[in-house]
Amino acid sequence: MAVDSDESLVARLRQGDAAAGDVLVRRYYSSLTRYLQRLVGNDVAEELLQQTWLSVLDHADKFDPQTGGGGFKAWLFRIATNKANDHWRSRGREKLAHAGLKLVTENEAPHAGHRLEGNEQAQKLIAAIEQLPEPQKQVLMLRYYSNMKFVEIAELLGCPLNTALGRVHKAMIRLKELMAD
Amino acid sequence: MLKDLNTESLLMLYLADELSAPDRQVVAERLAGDAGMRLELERLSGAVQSFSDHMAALDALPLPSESAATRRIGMAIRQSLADRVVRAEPTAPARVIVARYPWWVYSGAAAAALLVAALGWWGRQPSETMYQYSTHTEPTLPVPPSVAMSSSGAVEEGKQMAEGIFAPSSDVLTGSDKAGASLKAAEEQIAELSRSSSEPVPSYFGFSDGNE
Repeated sequence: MAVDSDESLVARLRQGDAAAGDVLVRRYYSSLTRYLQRLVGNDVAEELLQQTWLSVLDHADKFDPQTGGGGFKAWLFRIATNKANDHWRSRGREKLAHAGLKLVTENEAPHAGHRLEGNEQAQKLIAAIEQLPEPQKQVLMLRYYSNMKFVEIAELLGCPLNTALGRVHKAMIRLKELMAD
Repeated sequence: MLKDLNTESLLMLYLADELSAPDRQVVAERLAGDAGMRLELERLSGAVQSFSDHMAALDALPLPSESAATRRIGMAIRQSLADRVVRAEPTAPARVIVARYPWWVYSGAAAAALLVAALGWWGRQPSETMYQYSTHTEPTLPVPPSVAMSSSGAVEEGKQMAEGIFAPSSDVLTGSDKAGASLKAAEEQIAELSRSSSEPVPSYFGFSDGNE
């Protein structure tokens, strides 16, 4: 049985086919949920996930598969990223992040939403990710969970390719240092 | 593309295998001749591998119930679709009554209807003239008791003659000479009848004959 493409499902959703929406939600549930969890924490991720899909529905008419790279996946993660940015703005954290201030100290307990997650190593990684500046964290998580090419990520974020690659490079090195401590 | 990228960016693309074949060849040649760049590549490769390993361990942890979450989102999508349908439904347009004719036609028709009704009502009312005609009784000639007593037959005959004279007749109306002759004949007959009675009979027209 042929698998419906994302684009055909979006076209059906645009025409009011809720079942097509269900397929898309299930298809991206894991990657999108984890992406949002890494960006904003478990508690907020659930809410932002729903907001993301409702935004997909609201703007389905504007989705053009021919525009930009990455197709629906890139469009979906762009919406999710915007939701996360809105969340950061609402919390006033983005300004602090851009100023290069650490949002979470190394000794601070992990986010409340993360406390239930896994073992010590996992919690350490979560805490390390939390310490990354938001732009680095964003591009790193986008790369990992959306599996998009760096060119597509740079286009999604609206920044030069060199900038996106530089952020990933710094984030990788920083995370390795934090995990080695 | 290569000239726009710094060394770290080139190495990231090299590790991710996102360079074109010619660009990859160029980077490989640079790595072969640059020990510092090889060291950086090794450091970065270790960081990427460490990150991937840790993330894999992190993602092994279960997510919140997928079925519950997808069901909740699905309900939200359906609700949003339903709301959209409701919004898209055109509201019943206000019933606009479009006049087929100019406004003055309706005003004129109303006025005409009122006029006809008024005329009908007025036509059904007994007018004063009609009432007068309908209640009109022919004047009866005053008959003196003496005449009635003495010669009632003669008087009756005269009365009938007078009534015949005064009855509406085309002759009376159209021929004044003929009417005058008839009138004179009638008066003569009345006078004769009066003379035959014991008492004089006043003229119907209010004057007495010469015997009085």
